[in-house]
Amino acid sequence: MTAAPISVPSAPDETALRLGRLRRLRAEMARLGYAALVLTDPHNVRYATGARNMMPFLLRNPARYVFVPLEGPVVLFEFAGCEHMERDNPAIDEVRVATTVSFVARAPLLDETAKSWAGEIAQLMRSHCPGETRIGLERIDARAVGHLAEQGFTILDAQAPAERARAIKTPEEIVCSRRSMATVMEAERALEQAIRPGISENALWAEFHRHLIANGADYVETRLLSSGEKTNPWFQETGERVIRAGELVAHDTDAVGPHGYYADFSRTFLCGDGKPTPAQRTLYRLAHEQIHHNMALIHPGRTFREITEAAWTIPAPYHARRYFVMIHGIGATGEYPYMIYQADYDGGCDYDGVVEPNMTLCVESYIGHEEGSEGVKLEQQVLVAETGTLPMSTFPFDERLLGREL
Amino acid sequence: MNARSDTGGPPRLHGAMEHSVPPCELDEVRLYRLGRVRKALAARDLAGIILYDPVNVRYATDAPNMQLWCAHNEARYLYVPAEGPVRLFEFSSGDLLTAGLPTIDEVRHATFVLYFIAGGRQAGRAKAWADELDSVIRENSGGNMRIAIDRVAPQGVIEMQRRGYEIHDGFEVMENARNIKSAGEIALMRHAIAVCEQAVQGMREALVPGITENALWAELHRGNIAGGGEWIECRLLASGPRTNPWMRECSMRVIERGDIVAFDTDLVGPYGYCADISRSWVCDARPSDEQRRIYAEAYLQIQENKALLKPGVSFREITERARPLADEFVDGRYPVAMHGVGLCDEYPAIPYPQDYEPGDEGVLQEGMVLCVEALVAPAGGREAVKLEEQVLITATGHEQLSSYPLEEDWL
Repeated sequence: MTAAPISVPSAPDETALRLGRLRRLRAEMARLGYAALVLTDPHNVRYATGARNMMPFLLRNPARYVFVPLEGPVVLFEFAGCEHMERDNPAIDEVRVATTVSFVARAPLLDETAKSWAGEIAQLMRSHCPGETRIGLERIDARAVGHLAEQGFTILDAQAPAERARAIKTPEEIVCSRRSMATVMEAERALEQAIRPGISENALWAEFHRHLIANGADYVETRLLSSGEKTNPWFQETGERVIRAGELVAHDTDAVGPHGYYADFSRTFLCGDGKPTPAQRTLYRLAHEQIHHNMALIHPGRTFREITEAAWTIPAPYHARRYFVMIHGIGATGEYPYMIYQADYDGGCDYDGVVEPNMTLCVESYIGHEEGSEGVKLEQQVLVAETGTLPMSTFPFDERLLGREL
Repeated sequence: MNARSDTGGPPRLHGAMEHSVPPCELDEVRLYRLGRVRKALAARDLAGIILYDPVNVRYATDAPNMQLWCAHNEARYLYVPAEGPVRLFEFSSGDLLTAGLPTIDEVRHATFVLYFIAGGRQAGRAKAWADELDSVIRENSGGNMRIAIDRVAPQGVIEMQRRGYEIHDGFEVMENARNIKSAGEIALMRHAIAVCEQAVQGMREALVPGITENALWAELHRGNIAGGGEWIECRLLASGPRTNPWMRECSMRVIERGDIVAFDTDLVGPYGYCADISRSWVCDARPSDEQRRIYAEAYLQIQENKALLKPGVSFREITERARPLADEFVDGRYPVAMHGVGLCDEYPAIPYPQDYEPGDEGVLQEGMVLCVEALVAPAGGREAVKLEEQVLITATGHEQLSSYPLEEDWL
């Protein structure tokens, strides 16, 4: 089967992209009452400034962060030795060397380091946010938090303004997101073409990685490609299992693609040239029905609770192994909002909110029988338009499993 | 030993290497590592430790799950008491991904405080999270209110402090535990290095004029994933003028004949062990005199600095006795002369004299693994050379674990 090439929009203006996001972040800071933020999650650093560096490494190491005041200079504290990399960045006013509050970097000097980290942030607060005490932090060493609090600052969580800003995409972000999706769909096609009896899950997944990295993607966040009985329950990680003819292969992309935008969709394939079993077709049909039903519920102005209440009813044998979330936001990675099934309201995920235009959302389905056998994972990424949604993940569904082939 | 029981029992190994046969007795490694954590807690009179970093959770339990996602989403955590049951607060329900592990006594569902999931309910969730941990800690703490946390959003720290806990740095505990490797850990690390070096060979074979840096780097990813590896921490492959200054990330630049291509693998391979080596090549040409000159300097730095390694040598002595950097190489030096490695980069970080600050009086011990670094980036030069070897400290000296060939015919 030769598929049509996937159309790719041209890259947006980088300055407009960066400054547009920074404006959104500051608007949310103002709305929620934050004088400044110190962001350490590299996805948030990139959102605020456009500056990327050592993505997986910096997920776990507080060796690079950015100070964003409501007004005044944005200061990037860059990983030592990398100060040359963001010199011309229009969203950054000053680059300094990071004070890394981690034992790995500082060993017995850690407490001194935590003090100097807090001292430098406090100095920036006094210079650029005079009289203000409310500062948002992300995960950081407890001592650094303590030293900053001792100087009279009120420590807040930086996630709320960051997540709320990220939830609504600027026009430039939507272009980045579509470009990322095009690359990831090409990689998914390479993966689909490599499925054959006898290949291991790892070897198959490696083809996906190769295509992604060669085309400028960052990394894959999870390892959710599984086959045969490993598809049920869901969440078993990609491994050395050898895939056999007639087995399902289910895959959730979870890829941080080009421009740092996530392309998140799931597809389930059938290995080999045979026909699917009736059981496989049932699983696939139900999952397909679920995502299409739930996608149709998304309209600007609808509350998350209304969507939950109108959601597709999961048939009883598949309810126990339902996916943990029905619809979630997507941008740099999985993000706010988070819409769940009725049965999970007791779990406490019962915050409410309203669907707004220019949110990008992923609609999830996992169908696996509580007594075992195989499972089907499908997921679509959509853009919320003025009315309804526009599709983003246009990768085709499997005609054999839908039972539409001759 | 088969990694997945053929009798229908639980698998003996989870994640990327399930269905494979490990090169050592995994339960020995698991219990050794958990034992090191508990000893480190006892030595500091800590009641226990709350771990969020997925690499720390992996070290203590050998239970991986969505490691990169969990690296920045606080959705999975572990409590290890100095004595008493180890509890994993798992992201997904059930014990599917931990069955059969001797390091975990109970799996509970995580309480999600992160804004992505908790939304406006964050404050209430943080209280529920702290209340549950408080009752778990009290079961075995004997009233000891000293605990460690590796890294958590500030409200987590604040809630535990409100309940009377004294919070200590969890990385200080974990890095000291992780520092000394068992023989089984070294067997797993050797396997990771072998997969890494095979993937490096894949890059070497793909290196032709006209390939992009990203397409070359993709070969390393493919080899790592296909060999059961997990992820790559950075994207440090650069070519030609992008090598100097170092630290630029690999890009769509097309590599030309005669360019230096330098890279640092930073690769988390099979079993979660890191294979961190650097090499520099020239694309499809004999090296120029300048390329040979800077390569030879990098080679000498590695050889001379590696020769210092044996048990009992202090980190400070290594700093003082390392091959001196000529003036033209000082500004472009690497941030550290050597660093520890295990499951990712680890303690210690041993600096050059230019970066030395007194305070860390550590010494080398048998069972440590260090990466010996060399970055030769001449001031004003067009290109740079990066080399790095992974070295085990043995009872009497050291043994180099990495073995991918160097360009010795250039010397």
